[in-house]
Amino acid sequence: MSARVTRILGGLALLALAAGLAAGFGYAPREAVQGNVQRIMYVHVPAVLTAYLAFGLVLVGSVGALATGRLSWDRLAGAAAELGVVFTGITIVSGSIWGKPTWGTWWTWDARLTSTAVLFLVYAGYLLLRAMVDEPERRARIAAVVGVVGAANIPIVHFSVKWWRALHQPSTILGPEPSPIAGPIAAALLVNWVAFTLLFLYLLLRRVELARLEDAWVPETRR
Amino acid sequence: MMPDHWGYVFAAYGLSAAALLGYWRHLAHRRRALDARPRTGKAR
Amino acid sequence: MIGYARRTWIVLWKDLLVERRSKESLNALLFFALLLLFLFQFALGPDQDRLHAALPVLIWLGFVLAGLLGLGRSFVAERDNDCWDGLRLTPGDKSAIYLGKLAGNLVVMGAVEVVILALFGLFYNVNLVSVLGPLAVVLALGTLGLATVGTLFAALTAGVRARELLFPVLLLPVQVPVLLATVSATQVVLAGQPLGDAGAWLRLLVGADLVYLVIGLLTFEFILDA
Repeated sequence: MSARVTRILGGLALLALAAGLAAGFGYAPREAVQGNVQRIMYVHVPAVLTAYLAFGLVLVGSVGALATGRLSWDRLAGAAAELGVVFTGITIVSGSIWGKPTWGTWWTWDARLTSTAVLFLVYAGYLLLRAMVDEPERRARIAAVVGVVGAANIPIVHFSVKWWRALHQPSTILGPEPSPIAGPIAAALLVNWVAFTLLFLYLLLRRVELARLEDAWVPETRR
Repeated sequence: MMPDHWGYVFAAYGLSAAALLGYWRHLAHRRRALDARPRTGKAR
Repeated sequence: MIGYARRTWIVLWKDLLVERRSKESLNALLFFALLLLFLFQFALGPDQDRLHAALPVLIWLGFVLAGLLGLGRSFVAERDNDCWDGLRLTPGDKSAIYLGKLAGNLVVMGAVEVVILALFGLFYNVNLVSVLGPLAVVLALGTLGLATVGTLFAALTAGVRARELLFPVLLLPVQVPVLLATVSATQVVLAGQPLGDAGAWLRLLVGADLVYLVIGLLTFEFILDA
């Protein structure tokens, strides 16, 4: 992917983010129940959606690396995992900040936060593993297996945590999200989600390019 | 009716922006460091 | 097919033999279990109700910690003694090695679990005999979940830097949902309820175990070649 395409994508992402800010603060109304603190949702929800996109790509890259043995797939997996961890971190922090005034506590073991925290740990471990192996081919294989296990784990985490919460909490959970997601709120959410996705793709391209260059760099031979 | 918590809103947005900006700068920094390394004539 | 089963059996038999002869890890694990027993008693002490309510978690905490020690070392012997290439050059389907290792780990973990349970039952005055059947089912499913991923990750981290740190760091987050289901099912069973009451959890466990097993079988040879 050429540098020009990447730059254009970056520019688009920037514009979309600006539009998202405008939508989130200007177009979207003050929410009836929670007040303006609900606007954090325009960061929190797009972030978690982007994280899931990232981890989906980790699976794609991992399977590709195992199936073809070509390092380009592994570079995709590694880059996507890094971004996934960043966006998951943003999800958790923004969710926590949102929760403090609405629930009264920085952390609560609700289904989404718990699942997201587990997700964060799984892929942070994945990145740690990648850092411990230097040879690209070996790293690709080993990381790919963990990538596949991690991805298979996501639905398992989702269901187990959901059932666990259903056991210990009445079904009408007073979560931070307003229940019927009305027109302007949904629109602002959509704009921000598109913006996050564009930003993710831009950063992904740059990260993959960096990995490709680093793999191709040959150190000076010792004399 | 809840009072507005603009502090929390700005904190959330601010930290998220800082994280993304920080990552972008990290990438740029690594790219510069890579470009600055002495190269050999051979490619892999 | 016969050759595959035979190869699996050979790996299992070799590991069990090594285990019996050296008795290293088994002794260490049992000693560790005794230590846990004391620690939990000190922590939760005289309040019997609290202790019994915490029992499912305590039991599985013990199993997981013991498992970390035991599973993590699944492939160390091969790695240290330069047998890795021997494994790599085995003819035929290499997933048989994974299966053999898994079976060996299951046997060892099973033995440790039985002892830990017996000790807990004895020292904490819990009647486990009345719920033995359902408990065994939950134990089997939970241990399988732990061992399938544990064996795979043990192979994976065998030659990697900071293996002792990486192994639990990789294994534990993946185990969270499985442990959640296992502990929940154990709670149901220890309360004397019928196994069917934990149906949803058991179904999740069966599903997860199958998924992990299949992944292990399919990806093991990639790890060997790495």
